[in-house]
Amino acid sequence: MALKKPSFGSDNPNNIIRISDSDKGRAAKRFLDIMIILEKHDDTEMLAELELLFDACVRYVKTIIKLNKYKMTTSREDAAASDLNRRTAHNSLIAQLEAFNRKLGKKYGWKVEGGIISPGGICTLPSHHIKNREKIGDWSWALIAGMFDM
Amino acid sequence: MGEIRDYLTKVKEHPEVYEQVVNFAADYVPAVSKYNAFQKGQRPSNETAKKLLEKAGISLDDNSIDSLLLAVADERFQNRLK
Repeated sequence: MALKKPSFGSDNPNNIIRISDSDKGRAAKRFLDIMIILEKHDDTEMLAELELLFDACVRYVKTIIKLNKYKMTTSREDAAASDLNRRTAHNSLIAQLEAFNRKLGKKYGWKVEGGIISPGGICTLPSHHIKNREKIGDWSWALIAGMFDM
Repeated sequence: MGEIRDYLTKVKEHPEVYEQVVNFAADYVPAVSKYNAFQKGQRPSNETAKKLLEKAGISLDDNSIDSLLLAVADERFQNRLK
């Protein structure tokens, strides 16, 4: 049996969904736009950095999805270990994103052939959210989910 | 949208299956995303999810299973601990 594609966003009846389909589409498009720029410049070093950043997103997303908050209270040790895993993956994601954007800006000066890289670099968050840990986590899921549908 | 939500509700009626589907989705969705982004290796298979969902009485085609796995992962991620 075939199902129509799900839609997520402000129309969610449970009102828990904060990352919309358009956020996901934007995150994936920006990622691919930058990948195309790097491939055009045959920039293997930055393409490797791009993959490291994607891997950091994957680690964070996996950690979060596998974490069952309703089971967090079963054992204090388990809860502490889960929390440590989550923080480690989150810190690694943020560090990788900052490193990638710093190198991208340094190498291309935010201006590249055919366009300008926005101040957020590869991250599609609004400028006032670029340093927000929680929002960076949201962006990582927007990227993974957006790329899943490509 | 309604139909996916219905299947999401149905799989949750089988908590053990649901947790296994969540764990599978946590690996599968990012793996497919990475495949789509970098086009390396083989596209991951959703065969394991198909078998798990059958245990919950849900029989779907490959594209619909992908949609359901994305919905499972999306709900779990967005409802995460802050």
